[in-house]
Amino acid sequence: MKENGYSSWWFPPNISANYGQTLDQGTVIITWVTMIGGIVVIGLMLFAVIRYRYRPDRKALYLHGNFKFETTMLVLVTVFTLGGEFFVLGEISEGVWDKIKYQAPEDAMEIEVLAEQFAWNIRYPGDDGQFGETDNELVDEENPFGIDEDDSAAEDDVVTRGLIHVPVNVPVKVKLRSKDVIHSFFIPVLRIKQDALPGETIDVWFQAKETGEYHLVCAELCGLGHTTMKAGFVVEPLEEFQSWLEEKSEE
Amino acid sequence: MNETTIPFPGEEGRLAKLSSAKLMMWVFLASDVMGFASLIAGYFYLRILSVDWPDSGELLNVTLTSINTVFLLSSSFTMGSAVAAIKRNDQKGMLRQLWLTISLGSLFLMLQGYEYFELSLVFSEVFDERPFSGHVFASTFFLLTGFHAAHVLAGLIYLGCIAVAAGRGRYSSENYLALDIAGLFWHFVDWIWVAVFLSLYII
Amino acid sequence: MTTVTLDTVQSHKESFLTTYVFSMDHKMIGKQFLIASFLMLFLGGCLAMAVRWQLGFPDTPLPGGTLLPETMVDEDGFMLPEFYNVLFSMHASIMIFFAVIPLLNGWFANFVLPLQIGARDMASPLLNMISFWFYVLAGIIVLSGFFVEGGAAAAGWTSYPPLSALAGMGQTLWIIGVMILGFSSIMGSINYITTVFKLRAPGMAFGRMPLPVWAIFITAFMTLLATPVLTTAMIMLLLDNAFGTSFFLPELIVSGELTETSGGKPLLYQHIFWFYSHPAVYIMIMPAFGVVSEVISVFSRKPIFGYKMMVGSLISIAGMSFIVWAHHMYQSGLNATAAKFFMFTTIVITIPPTILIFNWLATLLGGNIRLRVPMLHALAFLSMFMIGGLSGLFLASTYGDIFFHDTYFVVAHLHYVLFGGSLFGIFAGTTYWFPKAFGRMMNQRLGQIHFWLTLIFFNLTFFTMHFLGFAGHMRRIAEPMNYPFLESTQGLHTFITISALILGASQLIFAFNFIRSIFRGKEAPANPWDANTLEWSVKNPGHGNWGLSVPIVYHGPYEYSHPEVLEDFLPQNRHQSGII
Repeated sequence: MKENGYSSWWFPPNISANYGQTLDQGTVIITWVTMIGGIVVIGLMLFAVIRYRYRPDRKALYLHGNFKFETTMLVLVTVFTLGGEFFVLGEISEGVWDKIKYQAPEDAMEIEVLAEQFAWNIRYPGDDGQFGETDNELVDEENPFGIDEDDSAAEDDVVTRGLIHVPVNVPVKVKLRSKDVIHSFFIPVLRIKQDALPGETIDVWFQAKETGEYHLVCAELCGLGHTTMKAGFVVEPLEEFQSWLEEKSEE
Repeated sequence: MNETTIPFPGEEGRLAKLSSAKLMMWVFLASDVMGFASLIAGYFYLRILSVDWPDSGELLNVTLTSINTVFLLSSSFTMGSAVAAIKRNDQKGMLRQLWLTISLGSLFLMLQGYEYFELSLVFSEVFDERPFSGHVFASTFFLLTGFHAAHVLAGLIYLGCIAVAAGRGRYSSENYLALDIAGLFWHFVDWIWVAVFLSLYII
Repeated sequence: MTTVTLDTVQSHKESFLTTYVFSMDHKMIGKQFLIASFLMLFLGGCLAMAVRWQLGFPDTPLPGGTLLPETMVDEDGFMLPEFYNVLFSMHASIMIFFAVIPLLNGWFANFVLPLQIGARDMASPLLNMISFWFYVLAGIIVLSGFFVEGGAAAAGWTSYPPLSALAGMGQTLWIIGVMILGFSSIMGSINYITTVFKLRAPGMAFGRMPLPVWAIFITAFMTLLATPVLTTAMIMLLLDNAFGTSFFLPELIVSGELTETSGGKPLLYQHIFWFYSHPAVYIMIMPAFGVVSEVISVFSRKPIFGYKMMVGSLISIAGMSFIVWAHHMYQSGLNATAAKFFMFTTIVITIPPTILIFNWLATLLGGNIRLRVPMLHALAFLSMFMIGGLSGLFLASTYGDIFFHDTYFVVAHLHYVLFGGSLFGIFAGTTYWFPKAFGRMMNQRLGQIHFWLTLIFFNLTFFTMHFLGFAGHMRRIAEPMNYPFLESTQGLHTFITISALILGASQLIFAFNFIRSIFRGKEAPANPWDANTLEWSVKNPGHGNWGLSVPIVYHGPYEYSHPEVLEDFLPQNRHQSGII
């Protein structure tokens, strides 16, 4: 059931430095609560069916329109369910949702990810920390981002396809874009997912706390190649990351 | 228990005055409102988020369409007069007001057709020879007004059939339900235009 | 006061065409929807079997694959990824639009509604007939996509642009077909609403209507107000797909070419689509809520617990269904405030279904329960729908949804509510009303075998998918083994496929039972279940349902096991002093 460290039926490893851990914990709580709730209800149902099975010599309990009783039950059910849900779901989602989606740290390392049918293109801004200008007219096979070579900021931009490297323990902010249809940026081990919409640039940020080789996959149907749209996602120590980047910029 | 003493609930109270046929028209109109509402909402969504939305006042003929709006809304009043007329058994009055309604409605469509012709030239120029698809402004304009115009056309055909029946003396102060229902549809078509007009031309 | 005499009811002679094909009788139209929708259900099921084959046995060519054209399979008969995309898209589209919605809102609504309120037919039998033929037309158009260049629609049943806008003829036909199906739905809803307001029999106050009637009535309001929004989404998508507009399309680079589109917003489609599609999921379950409430009460020989609460819950579900839609869009780039609002409303809308489940349980407790086949299906509905609802909690959280969105967890959830819920509800209602529709009984033994096989293999197939979701397995993936982190799931996939194949085969038992019983079933008495509602008061309802006059209603429909009544039931049209 477990191959290359990946379970077939439970969460993949969690290398998220921050909120990814909360997701796993929260899901476990929801799992327990729903399991217990489900077992209670089904148990009651089976109990009723057995205990109150048909006998021709008796009649069922004729309970008809007892307003006070019904209202009390209604209020109890509402309070109990709402309370439980707001606690379980709200506690976990509230605030955390904002933080994971919209509150990237100021000093996060920026990279640009451009999804297309059927590959992931990544651009690093290089030493100057600036992305070079792009123009849709300049896009072709060799130049998926349409980088304007004349722009000086573009000189040290590094572009890769199908492979992302990031340094460990460094917050990374992805400027997510798409060329053609809706794709979705999903890295299971980081517990992050964000749809890539053409015509928009959406921010996603994360911080990985363990090195290793993982995957970036597409989680929104994007055509016949959706099933092949993956990229290598490598987390490595900062020095190794920098030398990899230098190597790539020379290509 | 005597059957004749227990009424049908659908014929009691407020439901008594509302016939099945008229209720069906009201219910249908509720769904039609949702159709227009979603088109108008979509239009505003695209407009608010757009970076290059042209000035509707500059591209569209607001004066002409304002006048056209008056024609259409007048036809709502003539329709109301037609129903009022038959209620007091004034056959001639009903027929006159009915044909006046149809004429005003047709005038609306013709003027709108003329505006479409004008606009396709203007849009062609401004939007790259593509008067319909060149810019979302044009597409939403034609879609919204076109959706409405289709309702006007359907209404005119509907009223035409009613007018022919009326000419043959079908309706009287005792029997004018079909006219009433057609009137309801026509009022809807006229007044939903106000929402469309305000959204596209004024706001 | 309206009275209809026997004369006016039987005054027209019926030919074969007007009796069976172009019928305006609500019972026949209901049966037409039943037959056509079951055929579509079967087709949708076959497509699912093909999908599962690809996932369970990726190294074995599709059986019969070599007979298919090369647009669908390669030369060895292995499914092509583009065909896989067609298969799951069409499976879902057929099941949703041409099986579940018409079975609940075409078969049950048509057959049961007039009978249960004591009406002779719908308010407009003509509109009713037209709504059926629009359904047929829509089905033909959507299925014709299989025969055009590029194949049928392959952008998922959700049909998101730009993918769907860039697609070919198959997608265009899908869009047009769905639009026409929408018109059929709206026509039906107009009829149902008017019929309930105007054509109830004497004494049938709103507070005495059986729950299936309330459910169909309230569902009709959702259909009426939500479906037009689907229509406009489809109009704009059609214009983008076939007429070069850019409602949903910004400037794109497709296969290296810059498109002429600009200014459009893909997210707009999602808002408009889900504004309809969320109420749609309640449209796909609410009539089943009514059916199951009825069946549980009848077979517990006990009044339904909390009738007023049940009605109130149905109404609040319908109302709230219009303000939760964007919980399908949490990961699309929705802004934070909107996401929080929708999570809040999504949590609140779980209350009414919880009340429903509680009330069903409370009805069972203290009952005198007969486990006939309809009751078995109703109990399965209760438990399986509940599981589906619970799995929804994982997805309702904006934060939890980040991981589970677009994974097999969603596939598990949706099948628990649509199969575990809607389909068991459909089986419950069909086996329950079969005697009234066809004058014969279905075979009980075959019914039990079908039930148990379905329940067991349904759970084996779909419960397992929750686990795949936990593993991070994305949905709509033709070749999961492309992903090293999913390699360990092949075993589960094969297990699911085998369970699914057995599940599919088990449905043939139902089909056999159904067809054979129509012709050779034991003749049914007028009221085989000893139920109270009006449809059981007439043996073989003909045109106009009742003879000289419609029944008079003296009390509510849930007078079971009343201490002052001799039998353990009291039909609504039988008077007993002191009981109102």
